[in-house]
Amino acid sequence: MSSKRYIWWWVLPAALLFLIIILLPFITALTYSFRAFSFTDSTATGQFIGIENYRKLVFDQDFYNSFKVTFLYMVPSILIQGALGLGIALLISRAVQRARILIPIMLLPTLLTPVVIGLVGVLTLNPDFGVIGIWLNRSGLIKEAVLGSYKWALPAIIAVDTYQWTPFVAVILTAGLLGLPKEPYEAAQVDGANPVQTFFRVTMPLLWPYFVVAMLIRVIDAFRIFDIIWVMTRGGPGTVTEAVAVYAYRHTFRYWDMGYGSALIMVLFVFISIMVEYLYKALQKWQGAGGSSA
Amino acid sequence: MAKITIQNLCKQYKNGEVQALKDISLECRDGGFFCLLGPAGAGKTTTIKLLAGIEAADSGRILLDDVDITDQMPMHRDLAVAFETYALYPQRTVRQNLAFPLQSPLRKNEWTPETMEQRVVEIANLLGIGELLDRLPRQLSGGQRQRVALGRALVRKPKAYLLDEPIAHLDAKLRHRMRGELKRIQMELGITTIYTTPDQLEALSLADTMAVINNGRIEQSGTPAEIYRRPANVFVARFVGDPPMNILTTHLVGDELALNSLMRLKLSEPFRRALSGYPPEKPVLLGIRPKDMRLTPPDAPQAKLHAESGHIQVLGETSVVTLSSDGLEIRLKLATQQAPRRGERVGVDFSIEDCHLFDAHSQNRIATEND
Repeated sequence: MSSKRYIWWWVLPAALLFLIIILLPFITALTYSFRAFSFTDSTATGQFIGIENYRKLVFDQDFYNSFKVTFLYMVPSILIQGALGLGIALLISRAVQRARILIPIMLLPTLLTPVVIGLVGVLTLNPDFGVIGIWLNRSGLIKEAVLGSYKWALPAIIAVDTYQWTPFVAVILTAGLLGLPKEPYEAAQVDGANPVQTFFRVTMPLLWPYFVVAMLIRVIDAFRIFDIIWVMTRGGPGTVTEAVAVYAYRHTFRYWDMGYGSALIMVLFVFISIMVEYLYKALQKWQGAGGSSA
Repeated sequence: MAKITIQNLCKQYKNGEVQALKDISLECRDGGFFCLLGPAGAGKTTTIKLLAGIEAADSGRILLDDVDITDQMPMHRDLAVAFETYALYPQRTVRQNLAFPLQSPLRKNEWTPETMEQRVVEIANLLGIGELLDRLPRQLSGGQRQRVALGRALVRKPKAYLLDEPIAHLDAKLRHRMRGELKRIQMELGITTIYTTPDQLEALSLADTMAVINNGRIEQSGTPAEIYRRPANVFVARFVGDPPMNILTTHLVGDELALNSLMRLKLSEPFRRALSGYPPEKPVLLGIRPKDMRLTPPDAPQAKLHAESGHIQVLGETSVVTLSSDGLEIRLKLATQQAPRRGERVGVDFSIEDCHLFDAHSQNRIATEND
């Protein structure tokens, strides 16, 4: 029973760490969001102004635009990464018996920091000396500079993001596939199922939980995308690639409006929380139904 | 409807580290009920998997109606398997699991949704899982899952059923009932069935032919009666029949078998002839089934052996008594009211005609002219 008395001591280091690096900054940001606090405005010295920052936010067209951009980036990139990741996972788990060896190699782009990946994107897409940029230019597919184009900047970011994160999805799904029980497959062989039936009725239902986890991680991560965009376009041209996190950064560290920037981050936080909760439940329900729509 | 023949089948696992099947040959007649009896790890499931085509044989042939199917895809063999590990589709309901074999593209025009549903319900009711059709496998108990696995095999009418310990995880009462049901279904449909089990009673009661398998080798095959009456070696003798046959190590002295100083047994004429030429220094294993021994008073003239009664296991009508004598243990099966008290001195009588003799080195049966 003495172990129970000491239980708080065991938790203490982790709790302290959580307090210092997560809770304190969060609470600081939360309090800032209720204050007028700007380094560029001598009247905004941190005085309490209630929900003024949030009120301003509701009428901020640029803020709505940043949400739109976030979704325009997030939805296609996650769908593409899910489909590509699944395809790659199916290929390597089937073709390579010791697919596990491939996993660390495949993960390389995911292991690099997004800043590096963003720079890779900038360099390869440069119309004058980038490998892909030159080719796009000469073949006449895209005449302008890709990252300076209103039409192509966001697709370029989606492509670079996909380059970084598809392996991650593929690795999770490969691990899932390699770990699936083999008995149902034996039964399906005997029962005379063809490959399509086997895929939709055996593989997908079994793989679904892994798929859900991979997609959830991607949704959370995609919603707060910042680094790649900052390196590649800084939200431009205009605001066509200005996602929520980029917009919040601009207000906080470019315009030095800590109060308003904090309010933006709070909204982002609440939004992600709600979305994760909702998505998780929805996907779970789908799984509970036995994936019978297949 | 099909005759199944297995010829010299071999299978290794882990690059030869494990010899799962060593030169197995079997034959199951058209419409027959064939039991493969053996302890865990004997190679029963491997045999089923090779028959079904889920795993490939290293060598040997499998014939279905004299057609070589050794290299045929599982789906084209038209066999139905009830897996020991159930192998249910975890995300599909019981109904969907049972209907799955009927939805194969191979049987596209055989079933309409209505006849399919009808068949699924029929099989589910037969197996007593009619109430569970909309449940998922994870919501079922082990016994219920096993019945779904069995149902998925029985739902269609293939050339043969391969049932791998299909009722092993049911409770005793249900198992007893299912045994009867299985035999009835099989007789009605006349579909060739290969059935594996570690339970000798199940094999004896279901099979019309059977084989005893151990360590990847067929120890003996034949009808249940043949195997019970004339076990080919010590393993079969002890594996078939419960409690296991008593095996006593004796020596040939003239025309008698001597068990140390405890017993002298006069050989009958057929045994004497069978043992003529048997080296006298080599022990003879004397086998006698617990049910073939009788208790006598210790001083009775017909008592062949004297012993002290030990542990008594009451099984209701009958009891199994363990007797010990000078480090030797003998089991007897007798009516409960005849059971001795613990520690009582008793005599044991049996008839030489009920005995089985085995070679001490090869462990094989020493056949007599009566065999």
